Amino acid sequence: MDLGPFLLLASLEGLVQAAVLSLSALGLCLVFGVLRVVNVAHGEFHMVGAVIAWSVSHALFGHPLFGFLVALLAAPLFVGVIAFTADRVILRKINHNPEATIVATIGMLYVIQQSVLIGFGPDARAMEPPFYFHVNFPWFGYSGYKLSVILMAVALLLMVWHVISRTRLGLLMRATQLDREMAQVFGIPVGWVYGLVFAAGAMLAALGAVLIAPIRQVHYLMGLDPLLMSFIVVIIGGLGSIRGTLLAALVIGMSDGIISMLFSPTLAKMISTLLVALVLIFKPEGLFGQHKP
Amino acid sequence: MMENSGKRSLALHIGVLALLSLLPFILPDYHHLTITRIMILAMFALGYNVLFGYVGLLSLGHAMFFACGLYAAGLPVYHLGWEVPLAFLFAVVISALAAALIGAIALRTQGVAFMIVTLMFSQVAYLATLYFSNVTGGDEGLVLPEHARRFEILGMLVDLTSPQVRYYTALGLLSASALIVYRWVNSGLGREWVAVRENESRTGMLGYNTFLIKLKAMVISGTLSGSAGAAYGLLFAYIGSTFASIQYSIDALLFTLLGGAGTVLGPILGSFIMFYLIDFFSGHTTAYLLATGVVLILLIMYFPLGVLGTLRKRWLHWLP
Amino acid sequence: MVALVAVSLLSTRKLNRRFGGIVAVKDVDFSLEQGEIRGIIGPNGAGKTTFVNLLSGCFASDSGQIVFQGVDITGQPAWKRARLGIAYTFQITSIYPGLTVFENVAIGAQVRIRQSSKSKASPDEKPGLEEIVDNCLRLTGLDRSRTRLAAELAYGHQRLLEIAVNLAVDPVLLILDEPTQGLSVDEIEEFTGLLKCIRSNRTLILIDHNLPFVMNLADRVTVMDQGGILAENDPKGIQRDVRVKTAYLGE
Ligand SMILES: Nc1ncnc2c1ncn2[C@@H]1O[C@H](COP(=O)(O)OP(=O)(O)OP(=O)(O)O)[C@@H](O)[C@H]1O
Ligand SMILES: [Mg+2]
Repeated sequence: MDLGPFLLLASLEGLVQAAVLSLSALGLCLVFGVLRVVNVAHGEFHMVGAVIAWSVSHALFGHPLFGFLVALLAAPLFVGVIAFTADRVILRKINHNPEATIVATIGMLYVIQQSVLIGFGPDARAMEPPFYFHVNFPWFGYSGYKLSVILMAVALLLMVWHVISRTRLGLLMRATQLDREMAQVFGIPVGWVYGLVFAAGAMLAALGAVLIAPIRQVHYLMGLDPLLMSFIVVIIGGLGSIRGTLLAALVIGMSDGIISMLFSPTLAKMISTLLVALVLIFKPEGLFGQHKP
Repeated sequence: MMENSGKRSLALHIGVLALLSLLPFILPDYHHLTITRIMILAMFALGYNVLFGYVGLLSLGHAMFFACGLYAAGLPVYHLGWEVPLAFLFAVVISALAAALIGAIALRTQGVAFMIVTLMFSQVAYLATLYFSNVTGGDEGLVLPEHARRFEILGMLVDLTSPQVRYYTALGLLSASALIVYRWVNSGLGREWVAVRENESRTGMLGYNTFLIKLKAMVISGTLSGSAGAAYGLLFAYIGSTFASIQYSIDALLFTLLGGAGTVLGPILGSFIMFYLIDFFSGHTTAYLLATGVVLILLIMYFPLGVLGTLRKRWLHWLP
Repeated sequence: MVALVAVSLLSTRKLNRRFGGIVAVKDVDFSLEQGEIRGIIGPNGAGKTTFVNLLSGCFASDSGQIVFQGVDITGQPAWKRARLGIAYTFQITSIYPGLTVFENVAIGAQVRIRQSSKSKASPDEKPGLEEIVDNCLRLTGLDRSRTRLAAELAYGHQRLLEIAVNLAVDPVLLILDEPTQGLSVDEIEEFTGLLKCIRSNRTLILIDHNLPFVMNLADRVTVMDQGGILAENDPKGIQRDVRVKTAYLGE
């Protein structure tokens, strides 16, 4: 293939990756922004979302599109309920202490992952795409479903943006984020807002998983990669900055696709993890985030 | 008063180690190998506890120090035919250097950022063991050659294929580490550590160079962990990537939390409880990881001081 | 005693510190003599805490210079300044709540022992440490709480403990930020006695809103307002100063 078409193909793959990544990274970023905690079980919520999607589409008869649409509702709902409960039962008990939360969510990671292993088994399973059609470029054909993933992700991101900036829930969220004590004084039910945001973060990860499930294999260990990638994105984007996170997701999603075509994936992961750790140490405000006030 | 409780706690620690030395006569053979492994991992947790329990720094990457010792000891033996004692010493030195380097960089961060940074460094180290698999053997690992199974030290022939020899070597290393840590904890060094843990800014304002204190603790912690790794590799004649994986960092944290962070015996007790708990629920990996998760959550929710920490708070105030 | 030229223990030149848009400390020229008790007063938000934090090294200054005992310490970190003899008790009590009273003070005493024996420490380091701790506890009247946890002490005693910890370091200059805040009248009286007792071989900076307390103890008083120095005089002179009255006492 010539360089031009090759780059086009790589960018399309990168865009799909970036679209899904931006959803799950945004979830991690919201939770960090409002609750000031890092959710290490984030990737497992992604994985559970994918498993639910596979199970729903597998169990329902009829057109795969129908199963997909049901999954698009069921997966985030299911994951949201788990996350909400986990927050109210576990994280509230430890007062969302940042270090204790990491330990607790590591525990959640193992519990969720191993429960799925017991229930779902160790095999990787493929999910049928909701529709097949090829978009024909002059040089190659491309999956229409992958293109629609990009569009759906953009639509979902717009919805999230709407909720944050235009609704009452978003207002409560932003108030809690700015000043927890003050929010409490003004009668905002901070505990509920925390629970809802934690659930929302997990639901975003699950939504990303439903979109990606028909492209990738569904597997009980698939949570690790999105977790690390979301970490990377959130750190590069400036911890808690939504705009920075989205920008970083775009850049990293795109470049990851291209880089892993050129280098060994292990080497690529090694170098990028190292670089990100150094960013966190030497430039904790991130590369794309605004300076903290 | 101080004198008295000091003697009592020293007696307790020596008593525990003495008990361990008697176990092989009491327990059936099946347990010997298990306890040998537990003791090495307990030594690892002991090193972890210096940093986490006493200085208050929660690292999520100590597997990299364990693996550093493991490979620094195992690779020269495998590729260059080094003698076991030399390889062990070499691993100790390399672990200290690695801990100093990682510490100098990672200690610029605090709290959550420190946890994430150590996690990431450790992940890089893990990936490196996979990437350079032509040297390290990667996931499959390397089995150390026959010449590494016996060596001569001070005119004594040590045969590592004998379970008894392995058991008492592990016990010797664990005892030495425990007594060293015990001594340090009860000295001015331990006071500095606890001062940093309890109130770092106050400590700095009193004239302590807190960065240096943390760095020294990191080196001590990393060296102990690395020595444990080296011992593991040499005693069991196997080195592999799994030992660098996140799982091992979490184990050190888990054992320490369970037994009681900030107590000398805590990590040892935690390792034993966890191992036998798992043994009880059958030895499947699934059971092990699931139990790890459940125990972590329960500990952090209801029992953050661990077994010995709780005992100390309630009754045994003199426990170091 | 014959003082040749009054050599200042500590002086600052054009010291500045901003927080975002707020100029908390603005062009402060300040000078302190060996052995004096200096009061610093001023309305809330005048910049008193920020100023002494610049002296102790808690915050870095944006510009300006600080000289202590003839050494330029402007760029030095807090722990180095502490070793030179600058001690600071925080406006918000800062102790080791999870440790016993004894251990709290021992942490301070250990710095002193390390420093006094720059060479190899004497083998009988222990009695030295206990001696220092016991002295400081007796001085502050905390000797009976020796084995209690610092967190269990009453608020006033916690403040005293922080002072005891700092005394254990044996500082040249001790900066006290609102030490009487939250103390009862009786406690303040006792505390005044303590300060009179420890002043013999040290220099003190005393920030407080309790004016009678400051006026009673201080040799000189500096009045800060809006980040700058408004006036500086002996207590009598300050009480007569019209500018001070309008800015502060008048309210
Ligand atoms: N860490 C900080 N971040 C931002 N602004 C600060 C900070 N510390 C102080 N300020 C601001 O600097 C100004 C001076 O504060 P400072 O605490 O020095 O005053 P103060 O004279 O000690 O007041 P008080 O008598 O209430 O203790 C205030 O406007 C305060 O809001
Ligand atoms: Mg103040």
